[in-house]
Amino acid sequence: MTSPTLPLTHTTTCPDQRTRRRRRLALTAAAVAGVSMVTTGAFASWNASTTATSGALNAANGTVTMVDANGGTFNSAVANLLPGDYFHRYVNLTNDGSATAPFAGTLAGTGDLGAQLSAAVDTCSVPWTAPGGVSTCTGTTTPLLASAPITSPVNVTYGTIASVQYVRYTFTFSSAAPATMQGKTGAIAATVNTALVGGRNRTTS
Amino acid sequence: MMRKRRPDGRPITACIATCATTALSACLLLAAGVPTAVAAWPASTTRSATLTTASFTTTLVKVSGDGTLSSGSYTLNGLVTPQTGYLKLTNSSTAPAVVKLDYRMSSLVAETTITACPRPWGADGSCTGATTLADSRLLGNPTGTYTWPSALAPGAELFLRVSTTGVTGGVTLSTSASAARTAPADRTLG
Repeated sequence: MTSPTLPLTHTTTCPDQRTRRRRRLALTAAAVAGVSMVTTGAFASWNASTTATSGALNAANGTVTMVDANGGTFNSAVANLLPGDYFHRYVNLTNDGSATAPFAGTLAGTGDLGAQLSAAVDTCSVPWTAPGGVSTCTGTTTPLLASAPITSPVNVTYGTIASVQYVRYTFTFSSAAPATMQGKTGAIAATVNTALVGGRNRTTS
Repeated sequence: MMRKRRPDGRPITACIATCATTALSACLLLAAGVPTAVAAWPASTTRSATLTTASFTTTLVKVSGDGTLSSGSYTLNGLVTPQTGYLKLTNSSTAPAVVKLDYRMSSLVAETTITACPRPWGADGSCTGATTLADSRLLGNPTGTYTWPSALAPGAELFLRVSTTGVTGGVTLSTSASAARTAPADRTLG
C-alpha cells in the first residue's frame, strides 16, 4: 500500500497567513460598508448653528436748503439803493440730510457794487419775526459775522445744525459810495456748504 | 573677513537697520491715530439777489417858442426884443428827486421871468393849473438857483415858460436832480 502523496502546492497555507488574510477581508468589508453608509446618509448628524444679523445699514445723505423766512424772499432784487441803505434777508437754514453736520459758507458781493457792500450774519434761537418790517428775535441772538466787506467772499461758520437754523443776513451799501456809483448794478450771493465725513466709530450707534 | 556691501557702499546690515526703522515708524504713526483719508459727501446751496443803485438826472426839452437847446442847456440870446420859450422838464431819475433850476443872465438882460405849469402851456400862453413862479430876475442879479419845494417823482414833468423883456447877452438855464432822501433806509421790504 502506498501512502498518498501530498501535492507540493501553495494551497497549503500556514495558520498565520490565514489569520492575516481574514483580517484584511474584514477591514475591507468594514471600509466598504462605512463608505456606503456615509454616502447614503445613514448617519445622523447633530449640528448647531447661529447667525447674528445687524439692523439695516443706511448710508447717510447730506442736503442743505435755504428756505425763505420772515415773509421775505432772498432773491428779490433791491433797486434805487442810496448810500447807507441796508436790507435784511431771512432764511431758515435747513439740514435736510439724515445726519447732523457742520455747515459753513460764504457771502460775496459782485458787480460794480461789490466793493461797496458789507454784510453781517446773525442767528436767532427761534424764528425771526418782523412786524412792520422791523426784525426781532424773541429768543437769543447769536452773531456769526460782524459787519465785514464782501468785496471778496467772506467765510461764515454756521456750526453744527441738527435740523434748522434761523439766519438773518444784513447787507449794507456803503454810506461813502461815490456819485459814480449812480445807476450801477451788482449782486449778493450767500452760499452754504456742508460735508458729511465718516471714519467714525459707529459701534454703539 | 569681508563684509557684504550694497552698490552704494553702505553695508547690508545698515540697509536692514534702515528698513526696519522705517517700518517701525510707519507702524507707530498708524498706531498714533494719524487720520486716514476719508471721502467727504458735500452738499451746497446758493441764494442771490441783484442790486441797483439809484440814478438822478433831468431832461430838458424845448416845446415851442424862442431860444435854443444844446447839451441840456436852454439859451435865449442875441435879441433886444421881448421873447418867450416853452420847455418841458422831466425828472428822469429812478427815484424821487429834488430838482433844481440854475440860470445865468448876462449883464444886459432887462428882466427874466420863469414860470412853471403842471400841464403843457396852452397856445395862448395859458396854464390849466396852478402856476409857480420860479424866479423873476432883474438886471444886476445875474445868477441864481431855484429849487422846487417838493420832490418830484420819477418821470414827473414840469412845463416851464421863460420870458425876457430884452436880451443882448443871453439867458441860460440848466436843470439837475439829486436824491430826495438823504438818510439811509431799511430796504428789506423793497
